[in-house]
Amino acid sequence: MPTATEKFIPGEFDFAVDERDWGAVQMLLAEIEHDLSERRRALLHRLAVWQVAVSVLRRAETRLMVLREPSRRDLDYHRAILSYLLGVGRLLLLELKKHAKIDPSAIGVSFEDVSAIVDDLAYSERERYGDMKQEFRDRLLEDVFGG
Amino acid sequence: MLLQEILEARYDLETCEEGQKAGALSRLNALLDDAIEGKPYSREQLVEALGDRFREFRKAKRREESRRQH
Repeated sequence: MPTATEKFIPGEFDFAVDERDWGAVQMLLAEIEHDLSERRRALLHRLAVWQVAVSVLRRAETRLMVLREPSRRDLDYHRAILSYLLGVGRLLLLELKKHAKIDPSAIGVSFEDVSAIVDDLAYSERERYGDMKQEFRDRLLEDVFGG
Repeated sequence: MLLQEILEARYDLETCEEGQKAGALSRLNALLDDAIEGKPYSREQLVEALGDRFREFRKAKRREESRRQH
């Protein structure tokens, strides 16, 4: 069994390839392509699941927090789930930006729409759980709308 | 009236189809920008300040829609 040193003597390493080598490269490329395709599919799958989760959250909000007064428990769950989905959405956006080949329109939504859903969630979080002082709020609304 | 338009646009963003979200967000942000132009506030601050009013607005809209469905 030759050692690595014996195998790669300077000047003797031959880059010449025969068809078997190309076959190996092609197999490797196919493997990489398969892996990338799996990752694309996995990202789109996560995006689709996230979209469904956001619409379920919105439905629950309407039922439990809009058409009736939310309990403390409702608010605690809502805040945690909203914050979680917002974080996941931001991560998905970062991943979509990183992988230009992954087109979310394959699941019926554009990158801009995904980004807008994330902004919508962020606005919801500010509206419900922001920590703005009442005095500042009153002054802002007075300045902007004149009372 | 700008306040009413902002509340409508905010509700539209929350309730529109997913494929229309980007357009709805642009409309809302344009109205928010109009409202805070020349003032030392951000869009997010204005949205937060309007939180109570938006909740009341949304409640009225949802109840109206719910009544219409039944």
